Amino acid sequence: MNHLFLFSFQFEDWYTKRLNHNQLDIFVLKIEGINKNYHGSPALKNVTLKVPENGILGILGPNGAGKTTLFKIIAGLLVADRGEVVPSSEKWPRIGYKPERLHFPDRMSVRQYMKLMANMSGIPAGEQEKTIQELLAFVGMQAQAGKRLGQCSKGMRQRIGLAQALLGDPQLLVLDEPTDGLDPVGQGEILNAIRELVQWGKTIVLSSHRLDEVTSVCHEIAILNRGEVIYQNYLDSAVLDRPRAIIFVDRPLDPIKSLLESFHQEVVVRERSVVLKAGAAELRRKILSILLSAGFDILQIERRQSSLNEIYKEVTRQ
Amino acid sequence: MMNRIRHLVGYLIYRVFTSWAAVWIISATGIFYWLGFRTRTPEADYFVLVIGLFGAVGTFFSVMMMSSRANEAQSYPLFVRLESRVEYLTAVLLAGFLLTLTLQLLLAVVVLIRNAPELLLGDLLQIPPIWLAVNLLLGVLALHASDFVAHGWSRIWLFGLLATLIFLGESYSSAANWLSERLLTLSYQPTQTQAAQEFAVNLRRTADWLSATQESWLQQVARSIFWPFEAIISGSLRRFFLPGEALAPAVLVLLATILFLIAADVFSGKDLMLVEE
Repeated sequence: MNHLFLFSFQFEDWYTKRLNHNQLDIFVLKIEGINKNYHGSPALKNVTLKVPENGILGILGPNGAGKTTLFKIIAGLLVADRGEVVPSSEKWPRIGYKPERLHFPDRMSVRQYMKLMANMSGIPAGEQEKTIQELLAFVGMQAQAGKRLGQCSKGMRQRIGLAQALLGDPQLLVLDEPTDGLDPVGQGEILNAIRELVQWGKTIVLSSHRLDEVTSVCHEIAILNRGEVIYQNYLDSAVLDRPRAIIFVDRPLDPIKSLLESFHQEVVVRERSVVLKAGAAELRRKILSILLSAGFDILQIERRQSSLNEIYKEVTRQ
Repeated sequence: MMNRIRHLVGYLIYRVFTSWAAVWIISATGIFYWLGFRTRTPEADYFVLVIGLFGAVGTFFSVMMMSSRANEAQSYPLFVRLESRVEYLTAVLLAGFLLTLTLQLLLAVVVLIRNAPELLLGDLLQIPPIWLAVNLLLGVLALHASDFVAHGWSRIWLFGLLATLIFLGESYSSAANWLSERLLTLSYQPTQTQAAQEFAVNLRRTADWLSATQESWLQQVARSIFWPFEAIISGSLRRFFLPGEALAPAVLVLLATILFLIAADVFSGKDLMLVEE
C-alpha cells in the first residue's frame, strides 16, 4: 500500500513536472538541421528535433530511415556534414549509449566489463562494486556477473548493454533498439526499467521497430523516413490530433465510389462504409451530404482515435 | 583523463594478450633473436642498431595491432565516455609503444646475458634516447597508416609526401639530370614553325635550369627531414655523437609530436565507423 501511495505521489510529481517542461520547452539537446551523407547518398536530411528533458523520445522509422545514424551523431560517434547538436547548457550532458548491435570483448566476464566501464566513467574505486551490483540487479543480471560475455545470450547482452549505458549516472540515455532480441517477458522487464529510469530523472531517446513498445513507454515520438523527420508530436497529442470517422451505409457504395475517392485523398471507400482518415468536421459534413443526396441511408457514424500504427503507416506512405 | 588513458592502455593490451596475436608477437621476438643474435657476440654498435631496429619495426606493428583492436565495434561505449577522442588515440600509441618497449628491453637483457656484447657505461647511456625517439616516431607513423585514424585520403597524402621527400633527398640529382638530357634532346628536334622554335628554346632553358639546380634548397629540406636517422646511425657506428648529431633524437621526437598532432586532428573530424564482425 505504501509503495502504491509512494508511486502515485512520484508519478503525479513527475507528471506535473513534465507538463511544465512541455510548456516551458525545456530540453536536454536540440538537433538543428543535421545533414549526413554516406558516399554521396543522403542518410539524414535537415533533421531538426528537440530532446525534451526528463522524458522518453521514441524515434520510429523503417529500416534505413537514418535512426542509427542520428543516434551516433547524438553520441558524438559520427560527424554531421551540416547542422549541429546543441546542448541546453554550456556543459554537454553525460551520455549513456547502447548501440543497436552489441559487441563485447568475449573473454571478459560481465563483472570485469562493467568494472572497465565504471573506470572509464570515473566512478571512484570504492563505489564501483556497489554500483555494478545495483545496476546488474536492476537489469536482472546479478546472477550472471561471473559469466563470460562470449557465453551470454542475445537477451543477456541487451541487458548488459543497458547496464553499461547507465554507469556513470548519465543524464541522457541513447538506446538504439533496447529490446531487440528479448523474449516477451524480457521486453516487458526492460520497458519497465526504462519507465523507472524516467522517475530517476533521466532523459531517454530510444528507437524501435515495435510500435506497441513505443506507445507503452514514450511521451513523445518522431518518425524518420528516408532521412527526414516527417512527424514529431507528443504521443497523446498525436493520437488525439488525428481522429478518424467511419460512416456505415445501407448498401454497396460502388456507384459513387470514384466520386467519393476523388473528393479527398484521405477518404477510403470500402464496400458499405467510408473511412475518413482526417477528422476535419467540414470534410465529414461534405461526405455525409454526398451520401444523403445519393439516397444512401446512414446506419452509423463511428468516431475513434487513430492508433500509432495508423499514424505511422499514413506518414511513412506519404 | 590520465586515468581513462591508463585503463584504455590496459584494455588494449588485455585484448591483444587474450587473442592469437600474442602468440605471433612472442614468436616474432624469438625469431628476431634467433636471426640477429644466435651465433655471434655482438659489438656495441650492432647491439644498439639491431635492437633499435627491432623496437622501431615492433612499435610500428604493435601500434597497428592496437589500432585494429580499437577499431572494433566493442569500442563504441568507450568512446562515448571520453572527453576527447585524442584520449583513445594516445592510449593506442602508448599501448603499442609500451608493449614493444617491454619486449625490446627483454630482448636486450637476454642478449646482454647470453651474448655479452662489450658495452661501456657511455654506450648504455646513449641507448634510451635513440630507441625511445625512433620507436615513438614509428608508432605515430603507424597511427597514420591504420584504418582507425586514416580519414579519406589522409594516409595517401602523408606517405606520398614522405615518399616524395625520400625521392627528392636521394635521387633528385640523377632524376634532374635524366630529365634535363631528355628535354635537351627534344629541343634539338628539327622544327618548322616559329612557335615550335620558341618552344624548343624554352625546353633548353628548362634543361639548363634543371642541371644547374641539382643541389637545390628543396633537396636540402628533403634531406634534413631524414637527417636524424643518418645522424643516429653514424653516431652509433662511431660509438659517440658529434654535438650536432646528439640533437637527432630530439628532432625525431619533434617530428613525432607534429605527426601526432596531425593524426589527432584527422581523427577528431572523422566518422567512427568501427568494424562490426
